[in-house]
Amino acid sequence: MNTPLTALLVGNPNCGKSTVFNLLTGSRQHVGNWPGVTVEKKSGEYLWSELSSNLKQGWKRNSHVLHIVDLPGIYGLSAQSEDEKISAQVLKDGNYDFIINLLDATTLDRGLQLTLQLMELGKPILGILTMEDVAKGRQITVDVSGLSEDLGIPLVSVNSRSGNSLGPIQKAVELFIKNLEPAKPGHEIPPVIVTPAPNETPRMEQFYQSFTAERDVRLAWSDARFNRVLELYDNRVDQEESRVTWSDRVDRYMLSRLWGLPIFFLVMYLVFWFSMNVGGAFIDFFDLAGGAILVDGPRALLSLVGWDWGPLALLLQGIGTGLQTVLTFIPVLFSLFLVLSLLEDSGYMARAAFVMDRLMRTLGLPGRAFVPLLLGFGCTIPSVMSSRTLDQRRDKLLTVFMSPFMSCGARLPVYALFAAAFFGSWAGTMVFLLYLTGLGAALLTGFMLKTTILPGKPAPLLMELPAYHSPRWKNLLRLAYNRTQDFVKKAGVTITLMVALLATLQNLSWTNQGLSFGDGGSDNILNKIGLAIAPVLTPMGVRADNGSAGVSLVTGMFAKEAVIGTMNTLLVNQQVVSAGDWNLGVAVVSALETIPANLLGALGSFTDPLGLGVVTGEASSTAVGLGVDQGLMGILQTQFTTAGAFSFLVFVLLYIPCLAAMGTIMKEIGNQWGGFLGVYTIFLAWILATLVYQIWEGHELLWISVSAGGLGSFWLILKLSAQSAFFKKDRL
Amino acid sequence: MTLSTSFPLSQAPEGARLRILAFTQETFWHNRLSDLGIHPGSVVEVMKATGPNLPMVVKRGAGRIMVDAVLKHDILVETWSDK
Repeated sequence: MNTPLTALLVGNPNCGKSTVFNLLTGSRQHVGNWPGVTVEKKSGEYLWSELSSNLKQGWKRNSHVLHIVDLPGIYGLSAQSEDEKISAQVLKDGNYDFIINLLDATTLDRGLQLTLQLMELGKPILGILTMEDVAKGRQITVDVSGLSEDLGIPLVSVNSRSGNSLGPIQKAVELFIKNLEPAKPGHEIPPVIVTPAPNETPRMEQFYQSFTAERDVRLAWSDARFNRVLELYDNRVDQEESRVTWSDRVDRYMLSRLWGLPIFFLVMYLVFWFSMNVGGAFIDFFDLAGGAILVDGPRALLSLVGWDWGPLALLLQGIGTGLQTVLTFIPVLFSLFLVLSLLEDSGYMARAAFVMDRLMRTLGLPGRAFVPLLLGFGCTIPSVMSSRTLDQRRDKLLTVFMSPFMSCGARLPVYALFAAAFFGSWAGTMVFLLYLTGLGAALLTGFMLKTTILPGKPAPLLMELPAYHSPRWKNLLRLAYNRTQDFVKKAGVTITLMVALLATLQNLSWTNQGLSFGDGGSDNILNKIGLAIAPVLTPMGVRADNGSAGVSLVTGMFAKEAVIGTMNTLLVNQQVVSAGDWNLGVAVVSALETIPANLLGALGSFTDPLGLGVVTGEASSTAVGLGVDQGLMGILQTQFTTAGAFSFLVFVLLYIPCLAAMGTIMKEIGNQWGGFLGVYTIFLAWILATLVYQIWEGHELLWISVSAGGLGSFWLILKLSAQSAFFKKDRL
Repeated sequence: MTLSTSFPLSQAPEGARLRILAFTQETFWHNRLSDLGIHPGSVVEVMKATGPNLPMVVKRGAGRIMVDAVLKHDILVETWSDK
């Protein structure tokens, strides 16, 4: 096999690049991130072989490999956003053999601007003209061979939306590789006119000075390039003037002041419902099957071979629990990536940014940030991951810091339990108030960060509005699969390790006899940590002897819904439920049985995507719905006052996101920012929960002053730290 | 060809055909505008003008480009007719 060549796939956004990439690489794709950033890196291999003959060896089959890197879409080399900078940098670094430049036939003038810039890099270029059928539909005809001749690069025209395009693309690539020649510059060097500084009036001279040499040269160069594009376009493209397209007609409604927002909210509702309820219908399957195979299975096998509980069993159980946790996120993430890819591919995502721009700008965020924040009401993980679509690092950081305060679905069971125990007929109102508290905390966070360490303006909305496309399901499924696989590989490792550590602590006991391996009983290290932190919670209304509150907050870091499971165990059962007899077949069948039932439930939940139906305010039905002992409600009433219960819920709402979400956050914004976010959420939760309790019931001026003063001091510290190198490097 | 007085793009009504004259402020986003084909000399048509503080959509060739509510104030244009 010959040494593999490397080609970069380059083009404007939405020019059909991913389709060509999928056609050439098929299943031989790898999705990851570019080093140091979370911009998606897609690469793959195109393999082919040919027969050749020589006198000595006779007929011989030569195999070839072409390594293809699909760069994020760009309009030019003067990059602005994180992904564009990656593309520009990789192109300028020159560590590749040639460029495959895709040009959308419907927006050829813009594509040619990029082509002329690429030609100045001096690398061989193969041009592929895509969307030819769409262009013809719009009465745009391109003289492909003439354009190829004018540009001095080979150009092949394909309809990239049909499978028939593979043959011509393969043929063009194979032919091109046999005769690689660097492209020549696409336009003449512009004449630079040097004029003496005018001195008629001081104001005129001052005006002249404001034009820097760099700007003049850049403008002259840009002008020469653009004139060449116009020349090429006029000579080789025949286009009917000013035609109103089908997309334009649809956009009259999609972008209108009257219909734009209602349509947008309807679309977002469907996204939310599909990913959380339809995707969520498969969670039980992954949870039960994963638990049976990864946790109960190894335990049963160890018992079978006569191993007692020991370090190996503990380690296996910890890792198994971690992997099981990761598995439960797969269905929601896959559904979400699928439906978001559909919105991107169809062209609607750009319209969503347009419609939401004004509203989000008042929060210091671009319109596109609305989607990640909305998804936070379902699950923080997809919310954080979808913030990748934001151009500026500042916008992304702000969004990621705000998203954990959007109350996720896992917190709702905790609200429901406490609401039934304490708020009676006010249950629904109090839960709604908690959702509003979360929104308030997000706004407060946005204000604190943008006035201190993350100043500046959101990236302006400046992008192409692509024509609407019918979805290409094969591509969408592949993209959703690749992105989910990326999550499992990257964040999955962190999540597994974190969950494994806590699960280990839960099974390790520290007694007078020293360290021992327990069964998760009350002597375990995690419980002791929980009891140790209980006194810190007293200003927010938790009694110092209420160890269950502290312990449940620690286990709630696994997953927020674990708060009620822990309380049920500590306050009612005092026993950990054993795994029982292990039977893989039975476990998998019962896991499978959950799917149809949950799907039916998902259809029934169309009008209640947040699952608020669980909040009834009635003790017995809530206990049955949540699977906890009915006596727990009464016990809780002896452990908390009504004000203490509400402030405890405020803390549950705001404190550190679950470990899975923290793992994702650290992967997306880095360990330092992620660590800061974790500390900040705990701090803000304590401050606000304390304020709520003290204003409602405690009435201790000291704690009101400490919490209000703490918030003010924190803002001041952030303001003073704003000039530090750590914070400065993440600003645009 | 007829020329008229210059005004910011933000003041242009829907359906207006305009020629870009200049960018009144120097920002790095003007490079992006140029890459999108919006630069002094180019002719655009306003497809969607939703309001003073809202973004707008302009047509440039066969492409549709969203221009930010702030940036549209920085683009100086004149009414343009090919006839």
